Amino acid sequence: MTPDIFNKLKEVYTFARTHCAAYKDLPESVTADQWKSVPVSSADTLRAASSLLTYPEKDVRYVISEFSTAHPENLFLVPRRIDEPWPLLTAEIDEIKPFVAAYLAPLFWQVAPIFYATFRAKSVPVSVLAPRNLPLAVQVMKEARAEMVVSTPEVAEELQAMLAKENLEKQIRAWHLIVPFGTEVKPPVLNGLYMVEYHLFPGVPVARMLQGGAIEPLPGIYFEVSEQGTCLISSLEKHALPLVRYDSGVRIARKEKNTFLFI
Amino acid sequence: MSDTQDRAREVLKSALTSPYSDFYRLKYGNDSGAERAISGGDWGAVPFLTRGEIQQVPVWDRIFFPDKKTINAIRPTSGTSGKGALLMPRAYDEKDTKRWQAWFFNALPIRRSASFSGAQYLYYYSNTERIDTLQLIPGDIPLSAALVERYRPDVLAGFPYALVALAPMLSAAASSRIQVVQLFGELCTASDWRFLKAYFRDSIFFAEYSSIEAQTPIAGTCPVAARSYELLVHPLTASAHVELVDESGAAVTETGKSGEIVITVLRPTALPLIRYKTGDSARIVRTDCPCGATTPLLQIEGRLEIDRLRIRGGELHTVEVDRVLTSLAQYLTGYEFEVRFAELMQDGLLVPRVTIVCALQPGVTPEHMERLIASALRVAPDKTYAEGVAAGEYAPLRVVNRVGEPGVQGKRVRIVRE
Repeated sequence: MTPDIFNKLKEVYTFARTHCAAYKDLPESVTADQWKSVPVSSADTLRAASSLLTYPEKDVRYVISEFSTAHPENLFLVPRRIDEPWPLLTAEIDEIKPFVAAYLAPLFWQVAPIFYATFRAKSVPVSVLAPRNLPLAVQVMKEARAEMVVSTPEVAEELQAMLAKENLEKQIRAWHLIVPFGTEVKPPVLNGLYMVEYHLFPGVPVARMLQGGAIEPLPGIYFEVSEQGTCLISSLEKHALPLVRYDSGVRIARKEKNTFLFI
Repeated sequence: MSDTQDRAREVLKSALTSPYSDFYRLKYGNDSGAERAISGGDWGAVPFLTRGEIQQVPVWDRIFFPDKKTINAIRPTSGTSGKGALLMPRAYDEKDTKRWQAWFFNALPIRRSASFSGAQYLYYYSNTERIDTLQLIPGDIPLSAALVERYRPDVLAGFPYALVALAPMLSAAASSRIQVVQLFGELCTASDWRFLKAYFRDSIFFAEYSSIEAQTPIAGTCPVAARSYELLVHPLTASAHVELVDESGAAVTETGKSGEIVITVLRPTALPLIRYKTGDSARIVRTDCPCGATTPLLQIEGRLEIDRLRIRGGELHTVEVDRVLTSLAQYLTGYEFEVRFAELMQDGLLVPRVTIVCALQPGVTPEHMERLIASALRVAPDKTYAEGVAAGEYAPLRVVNRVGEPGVQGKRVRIVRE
């Protein structure tokens, strides 16, 4: 850990301890040497402290903690600043300059408003669609001339196959695929460029997949490997709900300096 | 509604002279009705616009804004009509379409809304009032209930069928926090409203009539009618010029009569709608409302295709069945009903028969309900179903007790043909 990284971690640590109920019991201060003894946080920590009253509500939007609807009882809300950027997606929009973009991920994730705001900032029209109605999605792709899709790998591949049946297999020039952190992804069979972005919670990106399958934490995110081999995630920037040594439960191994592999 | 008609003429003039799209010039072709209407001629001579006509033109060829960058979204209709989805462009400049509501939301300490419609949080609140909105999922009511429990919204918005399914799953703490129940998206019957009111006792109820095509609220709740649980609406003069027309296209203006809703949207929209036939029906309840509105008081009767049944010498509407069943609520255990229609051979003639499927209280017989319903159910302003049976025009009404049958899932089934 470089002094620069530690200074950022410490700044977020102090902010989190002061403003977030989840971290109020952390020691008052921390040094670089003490960092590895800072108690880890977990989904249970955040869930227990997820009363909305503890968050500064102004200019906050909420996403949810679950990628699946199987256990709604586990669900808690995760606040995000409404002006929080989506850097990787923004960079892709700048590169691809799509005519229209479509969102085809589960609507209950609450990610659509972030998707909308990101494309609106670049003046790109969007269409928000339900993954269960792919025939409608194909019609929209064709008529509205969508060239970029934010989706999941499974839905993207299904959509690609349906577009191929309509001789539109080259319609989509770029796919931004949201994958739950820790999920192994086979390289999807898609025409066009694709980016796999790992989210800790839907709408909370923490890493991206590199060529060859290694993962790299996004700028603003710091990974540690715990003694149990799991990935501890910390924020290097202040968020509405910052992560302080959040134990993802996902086992990883360091590949190179700042790249990792799921194991 | 002459003021709105004058403004509708302005919209027509603007559309016909637009440098950005030929849509209306091509549509009207040699028909001079629109040209004459601009210069004060008969507004009724302006040709109607249909969904099919919009569908035939690619979406980017029917945008009346100069720059693609002003379009923030392409919104498809659901496509469940079997006629394919209609893609409607929405311009960023339309962000003020909910301004008429602003006074309402600003008057209450509202911060959070939970809505079954994505449009609410994507395009409206996010652009205007700073109300954070969480999306609820009509197809997953347990998940939606969990979201409401965690989020504790001040406003609950959605389709009546979804809210009716959601309400019983909420805790008293979550229900009591709801300040406003906002209804849209499909016909809301009086029984739906009464059912919801039992769960959200202290909430303000607020209904609007709109559509993806219109992209703006066309009509809003009458506050006076709302006091007696009557979900009646007034056209919003800021948003649209509203007409009712009969099947020949003639204006319907008489109190008590029904007609198809035809709208001309008065706000700047990416695709102006001029005399658009919505496919929805409404009845004029009165023209002098004590609430002070200058537009007629309307009862929205739902989709012509699924909420209206033409039977010999009259029409049966879902809302009329609902009215009668609400008046007989003491004999029923639930609020859902279904209307089935068949034609039977009777004395060598085909005669219509209506079947009503509803849940009866223990001890109440279908035969008893058949008599009660038939004598109260109006098929014309001056005629009941029982009178039609007596005249040999209809087969006797039938009631099927649905106790024990599963409830209707998804969008309500209303009138079905057997």
